[in-house]
Amino acid sequence: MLKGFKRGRDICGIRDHIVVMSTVACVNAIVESIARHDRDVIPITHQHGCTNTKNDIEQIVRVLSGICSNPNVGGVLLVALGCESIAVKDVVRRISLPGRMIKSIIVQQAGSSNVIALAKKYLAQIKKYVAGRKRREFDVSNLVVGLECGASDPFSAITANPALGLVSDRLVELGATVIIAEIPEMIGAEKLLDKRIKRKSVRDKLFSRIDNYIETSRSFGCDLLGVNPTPGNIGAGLSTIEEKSLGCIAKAGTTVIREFVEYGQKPTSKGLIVMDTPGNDPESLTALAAGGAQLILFTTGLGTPLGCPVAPVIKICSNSRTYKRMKDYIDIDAGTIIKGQSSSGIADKIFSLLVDICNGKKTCSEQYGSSQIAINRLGPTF
Amino acid sequence: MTKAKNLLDYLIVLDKKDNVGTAGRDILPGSFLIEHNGDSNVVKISKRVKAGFKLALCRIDKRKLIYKFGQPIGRAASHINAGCVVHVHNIRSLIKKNA
Repeated sequence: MLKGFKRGRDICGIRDHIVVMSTVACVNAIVESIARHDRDVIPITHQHGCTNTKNDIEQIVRVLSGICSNPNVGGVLLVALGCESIAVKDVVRRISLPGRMIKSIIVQQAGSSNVIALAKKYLAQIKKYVAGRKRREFDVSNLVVGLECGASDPFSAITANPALGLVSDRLVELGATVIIAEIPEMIGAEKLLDKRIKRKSVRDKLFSRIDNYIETSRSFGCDLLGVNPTPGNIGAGLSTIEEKSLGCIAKAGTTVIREFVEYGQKPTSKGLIVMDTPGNDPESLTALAAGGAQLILFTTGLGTPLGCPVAPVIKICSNSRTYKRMKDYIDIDAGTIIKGQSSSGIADKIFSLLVDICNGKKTCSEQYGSSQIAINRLGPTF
Repeated sequence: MTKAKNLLDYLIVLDKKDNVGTAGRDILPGSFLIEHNGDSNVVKISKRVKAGFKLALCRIDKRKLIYKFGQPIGRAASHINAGCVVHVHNIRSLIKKNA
């Protein structure tokens, strides 16, 4: 049974976070200072918000408002500067309201001596709004779960990803939404993906996006095939992008791909969804959370401490050696599959931890804390 | 003469179409028996193979496809003998670099 915080009719958060977010990098220090005065809030900073191209502005607003609209967020304090190209009102306008309080401070209007006092006043109002809210039962079909793999090794494809594939299939069967991302890591897996797409528009978008990543990398003089697999992947025994990709998509199970969404865009369908994100883990996790994922399932071979400020990240390790060395960052050891444990046994373990995490248990990366988001940039800044 | 160990005890082979297997644990130098599609070979492994690396299950001729997960993951850049490590030095991606 899952219990969460209501955000409107069907949507439920598995956390009730209060977020303090900069809308432009110039005020990051103020966000950090507010968070030093108040340990209950999650500070979120980034390096964007001004002198960006039109496409980037749209993407940054989509992601910032998406993160604040994540079902796990119960209260938002936005901190803006005033003269930047992203207007704070545009971010506020796109944050979905039900079950959530939003306040904003424009530093140039408030004045330096008033900022902290104003933040305290607003946060007191938000805390009053959030206080005493209780978890209520919700159905698993309201879950949006993001999938990610990072610092992969050859065992990712043999242990952790196939086990996660079983979990993905089970979630889809129960009516939940599962999002697979990291388009460059689908290069070479097109034939397998093609069989799982029914709608032409989804197929066309996905395959043109894969081609786009290859072309873009070439236009920057760094062939994608030259930088991926990464030196770490190669050092661990992965030889080609195809090998990495086929292992990577194993985590999405076997169901039909229903929809293609843009970076940080919220899906409208249930079932398996593809989101356009790069293979870069921080940028991909940020987009998944902005797209509404309450929870992220993340497989790793070499181990990584990375988390996400608003969505708990369950880390699943492909081998016991890394698990033992990186225990503080990793929740589940799937390396036991090498020694003969069944994939379905590990899948059961992931599923039962998923239920506990939804109901409030903290993941390793949550205990560690995470306040960074990373937004993929399309063009230069000026 | 010591009996050659069976290499398949050390390898994870994901699909019957595969012509490479992944070392599930480190393989120390020695003689090994490989059985693949009815053929049986004794091969000598002269250098320690780290867990996670791939070994050829049979001879793979230059330009032939290399299969893992039952899917092609690249092409042999040179002749690869059974029991040899298959990695960036002897495998090329199928995706053209300068299309």
